[in-house]
Amino acid sequence: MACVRSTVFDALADPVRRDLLEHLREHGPASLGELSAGRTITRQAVTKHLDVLARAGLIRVTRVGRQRIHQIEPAPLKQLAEFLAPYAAAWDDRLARLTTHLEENP
Amino acid sequence: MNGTHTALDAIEKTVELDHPIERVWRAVTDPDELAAWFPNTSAVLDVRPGGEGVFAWDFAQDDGSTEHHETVVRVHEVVEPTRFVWSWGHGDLERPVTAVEFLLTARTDGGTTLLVRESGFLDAEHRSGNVQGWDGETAELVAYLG
Repeated sequence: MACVRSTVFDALADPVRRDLLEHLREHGPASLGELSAGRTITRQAVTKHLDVLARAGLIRVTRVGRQRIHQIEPAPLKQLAEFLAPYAAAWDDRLARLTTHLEENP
Repeated sequence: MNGTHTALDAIEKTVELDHPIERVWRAVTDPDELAAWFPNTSAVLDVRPGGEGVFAWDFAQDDGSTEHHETVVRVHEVVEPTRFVWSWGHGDLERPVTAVEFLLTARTDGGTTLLVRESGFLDAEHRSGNVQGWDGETAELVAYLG
């Protein structure tokens, strides 16, 4: 089974942090302002979540002028996908058996 | 025809079946039917919200013996014939506790689209090896699933 570092798991255990990552994955690199927009939590709280993501190696932060730009670091997410792969493959097997079961027992 | 989508914290699979929704509903909720395709040994399940059961497997080993494995299943939502939500992995150190949703949609041609969504792999308190904090989990899961 693929190994995912526990810091990565800890970072991803929070729904806000997962949402921040999904945002970066969908829309590409973003500033704190862009990542805070539309959230009910404060910018300070978003900053703390981003720090956790950065410490876990899930995002990279670069300075552009006065702004900090956040972007996805793909390697840990690839590990995560590898961790989930056997669970996904198990569903392929089960659903193939379900299809056969229904064909044999209509 | 069949699809896969893997979100950050969930696995989603869609399968198109040629059978009417009532037939598919029975196949994915009746324990005897589940035992025919899901767990390879047995399924015992009280199919109503709050109900519990056990899924069991016997795996053939290389040395000819079999290894028995079972996991506790809890039922969260039963909305016949469209939505069945349950969780598994309780008391099982070999896998995380995850929630599974079966979502059934009747097609106009008489067949059924079945969407399976398994989530919760990343929830710290549901992680493999955690043997505490399972009380009140139903509420957490329901909150998590929205």
